[in-house]
Amino acid sequence: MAGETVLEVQGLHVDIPVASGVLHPVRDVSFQVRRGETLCLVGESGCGKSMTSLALMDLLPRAAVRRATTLRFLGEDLAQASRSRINALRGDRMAMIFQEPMTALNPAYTIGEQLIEHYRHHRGASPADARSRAVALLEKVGIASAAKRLGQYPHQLSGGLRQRVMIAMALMCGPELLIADEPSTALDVTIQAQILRLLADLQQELGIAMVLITHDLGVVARIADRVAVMYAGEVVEEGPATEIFATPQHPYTVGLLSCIPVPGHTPPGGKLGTIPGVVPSLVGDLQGCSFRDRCAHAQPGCSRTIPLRESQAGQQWRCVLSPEAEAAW
Amino acid sequence: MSAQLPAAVVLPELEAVPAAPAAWRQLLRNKALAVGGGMLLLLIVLAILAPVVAPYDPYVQDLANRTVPPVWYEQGAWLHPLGTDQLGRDYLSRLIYGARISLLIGLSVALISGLIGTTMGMLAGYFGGRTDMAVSFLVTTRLSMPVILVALATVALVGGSLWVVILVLGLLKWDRFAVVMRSATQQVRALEYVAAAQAAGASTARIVLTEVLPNVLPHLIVIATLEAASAILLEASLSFLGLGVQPPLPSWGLMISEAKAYMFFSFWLIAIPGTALALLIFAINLAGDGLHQVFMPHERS
Amino acid sequence: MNALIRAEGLHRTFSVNAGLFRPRQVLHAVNGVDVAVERGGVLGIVGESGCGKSTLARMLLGLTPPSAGSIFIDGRDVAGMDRRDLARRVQPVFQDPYSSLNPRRTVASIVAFPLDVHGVGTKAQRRQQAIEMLDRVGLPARYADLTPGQLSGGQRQRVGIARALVMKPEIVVCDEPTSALDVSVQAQILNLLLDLRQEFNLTYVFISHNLAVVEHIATQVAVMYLGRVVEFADTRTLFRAPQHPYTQALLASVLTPDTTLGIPETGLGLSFPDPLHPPAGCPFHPRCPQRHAGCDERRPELVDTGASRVACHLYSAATTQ
Repeated sequence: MAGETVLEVQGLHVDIPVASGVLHPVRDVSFQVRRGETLCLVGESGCGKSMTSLALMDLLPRAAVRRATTLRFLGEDLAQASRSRINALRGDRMAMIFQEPMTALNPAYTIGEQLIEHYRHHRGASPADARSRAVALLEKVGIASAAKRLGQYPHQLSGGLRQRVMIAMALMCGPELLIADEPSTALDVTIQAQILRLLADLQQELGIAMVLITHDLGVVARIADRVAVMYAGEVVEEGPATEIFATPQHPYTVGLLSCIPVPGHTPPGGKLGTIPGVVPSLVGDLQGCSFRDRCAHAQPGCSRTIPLRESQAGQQWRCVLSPEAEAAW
Repeated sequence: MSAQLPAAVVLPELEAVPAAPAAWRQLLRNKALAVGGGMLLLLIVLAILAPVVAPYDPYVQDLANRTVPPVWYEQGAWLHPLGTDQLGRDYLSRLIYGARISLLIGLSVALISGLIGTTMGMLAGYFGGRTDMAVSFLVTTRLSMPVILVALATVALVGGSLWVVILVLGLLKWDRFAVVMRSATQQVRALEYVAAAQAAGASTARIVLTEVLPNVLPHLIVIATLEAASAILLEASLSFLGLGVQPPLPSWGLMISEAKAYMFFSFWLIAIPGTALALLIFAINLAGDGLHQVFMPHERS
Repeated sequence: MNALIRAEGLHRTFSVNAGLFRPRQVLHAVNGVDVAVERGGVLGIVGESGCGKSTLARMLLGLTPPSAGSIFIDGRDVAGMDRRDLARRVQPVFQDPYSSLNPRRTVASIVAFPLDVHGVGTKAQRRQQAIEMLDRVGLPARYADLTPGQLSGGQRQRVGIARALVMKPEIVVCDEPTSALDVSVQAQILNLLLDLRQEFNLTYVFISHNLAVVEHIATQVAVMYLGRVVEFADTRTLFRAPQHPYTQALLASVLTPDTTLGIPETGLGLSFPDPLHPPAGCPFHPRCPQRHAGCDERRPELVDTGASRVACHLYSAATTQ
C-alpha cells in the first residue's frame, strides 16, 4: 500500500564535539519512507538509531551539528526551514512517540489537558472541538470510558495505557509521519503485542508513514515493510523486510540474526551465535568499514572505501565481499 | 525489593575505557577547586606558621601607637603593615593568629557534627523502618531549634570560650549531615552490589563500612566543607555578640566587634577582619563547589 | 524428583503506603508458591511485571525472609541455616551490570569479596583464586586491577558471574542476567552460563521475562502471575502444549523473527493486573479469554494434568470428579 514519499533522507550526518575530539554518532544515513509504509531502524545500543530520529525532528542536543544532503518531508526541505516552520510541523504533521511513557507525559497535568492543549496550539480549535476529538482518539486507541480518563493524571494509568495515550496525543493533529522510538520496549510482553498491533492498525487506517526504532528483531520482522540495519552510526544494510530476513547479506546482519534464540528452531541448550569484539569508538576520523575488527571475513580492502552493493529485490548493503563470495559461506 | 531495571534500558557495549587520570590530577583540573583549595591551603600554611610569619606577638599592647593606619594610608608605615588596633596591637599579627582560631573552629565543628550526623544518617538510611523514624524525629526536633539562640543561651549559662563554642556548635550542627547522608545511604542501599554483599554472607557492619561508606564519602566531604564555613561564620557572629570567644583572643569576629566603635574613624579596623572572613568563607565554598563538581559530575545541570 | 532446592507455600507480603490519608495496604508479592529444581537442572521463572518473580528470587537467596512458608536446600530448612552457610550454597547474578558491582573496588577485589567474608586462605591466595575464576569467565588477568567504570556491560556481567562462582556454590539464582545487555552480548553470556553449568555442575534458577531466552536455557519452567505459579512443566511440554490461558497468551506474544507472521492477537483485553487489589477467585479471570462461571469465586489450585501442573478451573473441574 505504498504511496508518495513522505520522508526522504540522504547523507544525514550528526557531529558532536566532545572532550577528546568530534563524535560522529550518525554517519551518512539515507533512507525513504512512503505513505502507509513502516520502516524499521534496527540496531544495538550506540548504533545511532535514536540519534537519527532526534535529528529528523530537530531535537538534537544543543552542541550537536546536523547536516544532510537531502532532508525532505513531503517535498519540503527541512534543513532550510525556519525555526517557526519546524515548530509548526512538529507535533502537527510529524509526530514522535518516545520509549518511556512514564517520563514522556507531564505528571503535573491531566491527560485531557495535555491532549487538548496540543491540538488547540496547532489548530486553534475551540475547547469543545478539541475535547471531542480527544475522546474520539482515546477510543480509537482502545481506551474504554475515554471521557472519564480525560480527567486522570498519568500516574493513575498503567504503562500500557500511558503508551496508548501517547499514541493518541501523537495522532491528535493527524500527522503524516510518525516516528516511534522503542514504543513497546518498556512494556510487558503481552502489552507490547497489543501496542504494536494498535500501531499497525492505525497506520493502515490512516495511511501514515511510520519510522519505528527498535533493537528487537522480532518486532522488526512482524511489523516492518522495510528495514535499515544500523551499526556504529551507519546504515549497513537496507531493504524489504522479507528479503533482509530471508537473505541477510552484511556480516553484521547475519551475525545479529544468529544470536537470537528462536523457540522451536534454535536447539535448546546449544551454542548461540556470537559477534566477538566491541563497538569501535566513533570519535575522530573514521575510515573504511566500522565492522572490520569483528568480522570473520575482514580483508585489507575493508579499511578503504566500501562499495555499495544492490540486489535485484531492492536490498542494499555495504561490503567488500561480492554476493558470490558471500554465497560461498 | 531489589532495584529493577526496566527491560528497555540496554547498555552500549563499548571498548574498555583507559584508566582515568589519577584522582589528584583530576582534582587539580577543576578551576573552582584549584582556586578555592589554593586560597585555603595558603591560609592554613599561614595559620600553622603563625609564630614564624607574624611580625609581632598579637597580645602585646603598645598604647603609644594606638590605631595606627595601615601602610597604604598617609600616616601608615611598614613598621605595622596593617596598622594597629585600639590597644596598639599589631593588626597583621592578630589577623594571622585569628586565622588559627577560625580554621580550628571550622575543622573541629565539622568533625564533631560530621561524626554525629553521619552516624545517625547512615543508620537511618541503611536500616529504615523504626531507626529511620527515630532519626527523622530527632532531626525534626533539632531543626525546630534556632541554633543561634540555643548557642547564646548555652554560652550565657556556661560562659563563653573557644571550647564551649566548639562543643555547642558541634552538638548542634549535625542536621545537614544526617539528612544528606541518610538519602545518600538509601540510594546506595538499593543498589545491587549491596544485595550481592549480603548474599555473600557479609555482616551488616562490614557492608556498611566497606560497601556503603566509600560510596557516600563524596557527599560527606562536600557537606563537611559547607558546614565548616557555616561554623566559622557562626562563631564570628557569636564572638561579635560577645558570647563566643573572649578577649584578648584574636578571633576575627571579636576583632570586628571591638572595631565597631571606631567604624567611622578607623574604617580599616573593621574592614580588614571582615574582608578576611569573607575571603575564607568564599574559599571554602568555592573549594566545596569544586569538590562537588569533581565527585558528582552527573548532578550538574 | 530429587530436589536440590525446594520452596513450599512461600508467601511474602509488604505493607505499602497507599496515599496520604488512606491506611497502609498489604501487597501480596508472593502468594503461595511451590517450586522445586533438581540438581543440575535449570528452573526458568517467567512472568510480567508485578508477578513476584524478583521477590521470589530474593527469598531463595536469603535476602528477604518469607512471611510464610519454607525453603529447603538438599532437605535442610534454610531458616535454620547460618547466613554464611547459605551463602556458600546459593549465589546471585543480578540484572544491572552497572549497579551490581561496587564502583570503588577493583575487579579482583570484587570477585575475592566472598572469599574475604568467609576468611578463605591468605590474601594472596584469595586474589589468586579470584584471578583464576576471572579467567574461567573469559576475562584475562589484565582486567584484575581495573575498576568497573572501565568495563563494558558484558564484561561487568562476567565479573558478576565470577563473583557468584568463586565460592563454588551449588545453586545460582540469575535475576534477568541478560535483560540489560545487547543481543550479541546476551548470546555470549548465555553461552557462558551454559558452559559453566557443565563445568561446575551448577543448578540455576533463571528468572526472565524473555521467553525465547528461557526456552533456550531452562529445563523446567514455572509461569507466575500476581504472586502465584499458574503453570509448571518441562520446557518442551510448556512451549509445545501450554495449558493455562495466560501461558498461551504469553507464548503467543513472543515475536519470533518470522516475516510471514504478523502481530499476534493475544485476546487479553485492556485491564491490567493491580497487585494491590488482586481480583477475587482466579487472579487472571478479568483478562482471561476463556473465563466462565465460577472463575471469580474460587481460587484454583495447582493440579496435575499429566505432563504439567496448572492452576486453572478449566482443569481442576476435571480432576475433582
